[in-house]
Amino acid sequence: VAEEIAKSFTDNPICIIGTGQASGHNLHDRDTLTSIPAAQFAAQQAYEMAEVEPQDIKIAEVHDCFTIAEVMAIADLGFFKEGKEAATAAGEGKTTRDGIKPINVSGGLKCKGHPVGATGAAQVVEIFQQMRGEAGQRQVMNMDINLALNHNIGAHGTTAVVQIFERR
Amino acid sequence: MKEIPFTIASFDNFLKEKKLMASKCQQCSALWLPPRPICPTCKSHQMEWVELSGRGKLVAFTVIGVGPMPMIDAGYNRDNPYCAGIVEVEEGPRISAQILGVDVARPENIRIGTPLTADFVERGSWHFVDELAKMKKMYLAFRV
Repeated sequence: VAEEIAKSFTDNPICIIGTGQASGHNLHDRDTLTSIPAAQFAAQQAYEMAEVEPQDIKIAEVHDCFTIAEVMAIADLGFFKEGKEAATAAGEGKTTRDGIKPINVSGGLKCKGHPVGATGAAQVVEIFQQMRGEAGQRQVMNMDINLALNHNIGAHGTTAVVQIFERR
Repeated sequence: MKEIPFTIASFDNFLKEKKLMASKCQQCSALWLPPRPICPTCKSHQMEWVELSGRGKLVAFTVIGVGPMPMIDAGYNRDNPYCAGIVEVEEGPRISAQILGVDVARPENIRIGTPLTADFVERGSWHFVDELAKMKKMYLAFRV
């Protein structure tokens, strides 16, 4: 809703400041199996609209429908370099709740569940609660979450959406 | 063959006749497998059907122990896994399919680049409605 309407619901709204959507080839038609070009395009659109860089984003929910999907997502979004850096980020604790870039503090799709149509809404709810400091025991404590990102893909990455959220 | 729409339904009908058919863009000559009604490269609507040779090579694969329902119904499980792969046909385009005739017990011995030929396998399809899921359908596969 518009910002002035949001203010009628709450004194502490979260604003969508960037959004991107892209579609891409079927898996077998892609030049690469280790990234999702549609997600890269969607992220680029969202970053440009929001006028922020990947390093400005504090936390993110990404569509980890399979283990490899989170590794690919955090590279596609520009948080970590594609390859070893992205592949080892979780193991090295960089993406945990007290890491430098908390990813999927909700548990992600593979942990909290993936009810397909509701998955994206659940991701946004997590971002909303985290940014307002209302995430309870899952709350990221050691940073001011003024900027967060949500990443979602459909099928095997033939479509992708990315939103960037700001708490003003 | 212009009257046959360039859809997955048409592609499936050709599979029933054991034909591997692609759509070819008459403007830029790009081949699309499965067929596309609009060329993703040049956006032309001028397509024609072409039959492919069925020869190709393996470009990526995985061996699956816990498959979707139609594969479980076809008898695949952890003790009897199957290979799924991406095949590049000799005319150029790529397609995903089950790969037959490889040693699924030893995936480390399956080689990228292995020559393959098209095969056609009948099994049930995936559907929320059980009765519809039981209906047999012809699927594309590739065999060593």
